[in-house]
Amino acid sequence: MTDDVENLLRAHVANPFFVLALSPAAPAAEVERQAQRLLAELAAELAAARRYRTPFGEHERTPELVRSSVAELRDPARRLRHEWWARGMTEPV
Amino acid sequence: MTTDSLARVRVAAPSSGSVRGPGPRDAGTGVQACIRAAVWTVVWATILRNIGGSVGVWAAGSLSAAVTILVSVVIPVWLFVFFPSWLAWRVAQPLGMPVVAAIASWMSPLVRMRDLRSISIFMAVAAGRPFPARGDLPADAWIALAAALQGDGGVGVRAARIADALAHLPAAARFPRLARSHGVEVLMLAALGRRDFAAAARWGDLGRGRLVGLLALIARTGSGAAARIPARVLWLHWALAPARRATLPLVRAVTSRRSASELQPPPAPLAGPVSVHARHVALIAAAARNQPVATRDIAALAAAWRTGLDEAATARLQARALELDVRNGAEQGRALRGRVLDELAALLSVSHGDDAIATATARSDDFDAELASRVRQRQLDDVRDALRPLDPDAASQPLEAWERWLALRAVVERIDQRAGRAASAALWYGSVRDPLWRWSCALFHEHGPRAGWVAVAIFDWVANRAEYVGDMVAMLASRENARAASAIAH
Repeated sequence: MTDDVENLLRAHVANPFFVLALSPAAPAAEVERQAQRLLAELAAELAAARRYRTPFGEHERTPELVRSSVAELRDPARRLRHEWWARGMTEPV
Repeated sequence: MTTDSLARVRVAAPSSGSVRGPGPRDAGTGVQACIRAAVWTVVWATILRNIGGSVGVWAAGSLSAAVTILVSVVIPVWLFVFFPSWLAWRVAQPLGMPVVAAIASWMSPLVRMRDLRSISIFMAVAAGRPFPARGDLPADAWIALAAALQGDGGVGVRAARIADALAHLPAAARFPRLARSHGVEVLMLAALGRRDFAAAARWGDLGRGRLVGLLALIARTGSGAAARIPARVLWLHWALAPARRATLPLVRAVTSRRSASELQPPPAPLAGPVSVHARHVALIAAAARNQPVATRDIAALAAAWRTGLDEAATARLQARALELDVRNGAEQGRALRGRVLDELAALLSVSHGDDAIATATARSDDFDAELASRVRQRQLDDVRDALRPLDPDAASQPLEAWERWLALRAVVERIDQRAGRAASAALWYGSVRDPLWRWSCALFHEHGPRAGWVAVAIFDWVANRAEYVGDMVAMLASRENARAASAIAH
């Protein structure tokens, strides 16, 4: 049962907007630009690119995670869902 | 399953109709116990003779009656009864001398022969060594404490489950006094070292002794649960308890922290208003870290979600869906609502506390009704998942089996609290009784005395469950099985 909640937490902290360090309102072009920038930084092994921040702590960022995040945000329906969670977690009440 | 078929799996009524006698392993243990008693007699008789002889010659009849009794009775009795366990737990174990600890435990009349191996394993785990392979491990209170200490150091959901099981052991399942004192002390110190005062207090309820009493006071003071325990009381307990060097920093920390908090006004809450999304994920994060999550907090979260997912929120989501060119905005809204409900049900399945969810789900609106439905489905899934490892044909070691049963016990008792007796009875007859009964009997038949402690606890619980739901056949047979398991284990 604890495994279930671990998986839920993993899904929430891997929200593509957190992984890409973008605002939920970021346009599609900015999403692509940011993904390319992060992939280049990860390829250059920049320490700052290896971690990303969420409201629940820092986590490891990998090229695979960046690629899957940008793929998620290319689908409008999935983007809508990620945006709803990210906006709810980050924007003031 | 009929009464006849149930009788076939009863431990108390195997094909021979009688309880098996002790096997060769038991005879070996008996010989070892006899050798141990003989060594005690020789060693302590020699020591007593030397004390009496040398003191008698030195005093030459000048000692008073009281001093004579002290020298010839009190000191030898203390040396014989208490000194070995003191040496093992207060000297050898803290200083990392496992051989000395093992010899001292062997010499202690407070330690039964069968507990020696379990004590060595517990001491090894307490010293940071890995838990041994579970191949031929016995299952008893010492090993259960070692399992709780392993990994999370006596805190977390697994340790809480073990503490709860040990707190509700049947009378026939032994929880040795030394385990209640020295074993529980180690777990309390580990929990206090992690500043988990609630876990330390939970272990303190199981323990005995002056040090456990002191650590329980520290836990209560640290958690703020105690109503102003004066510092002098803490210091008095510290002075009277053993292991003063180890506990001095803990007492200093709680007394100085409290002094500071008494002098300063309570700090204003730093956190501003938090969105329902953030509260939701914060509770998931706490549950994922094995921190206890209160049912009432989840009920409050569910109440907040009713507003967070109301018509206005859904309209905003659909407007954003149009901007993003998502055609089925309403369906996306339903999917998000479904995910929230699923996650609330998952949180409820690991939560602790009263039955606030019963009031939270008894209202008539769709959100609550749907949450109640998902919680019920989740509970059934949890029971199915907990029953799956209880396969009578698959070999499992007694300790592993005990932990699997603990998982099932936690799920079934949670359903008791929340769904009531009728639902529990339906679940008992529908899915729990027969597989659990077959599995517990198969476990005991396979491992015999080694699984005795575990079997007594399981059969006793099965009997209590059966009595609760009115299953007299299962109750009587399980009481008999518990008695037989207890007799064989002893």
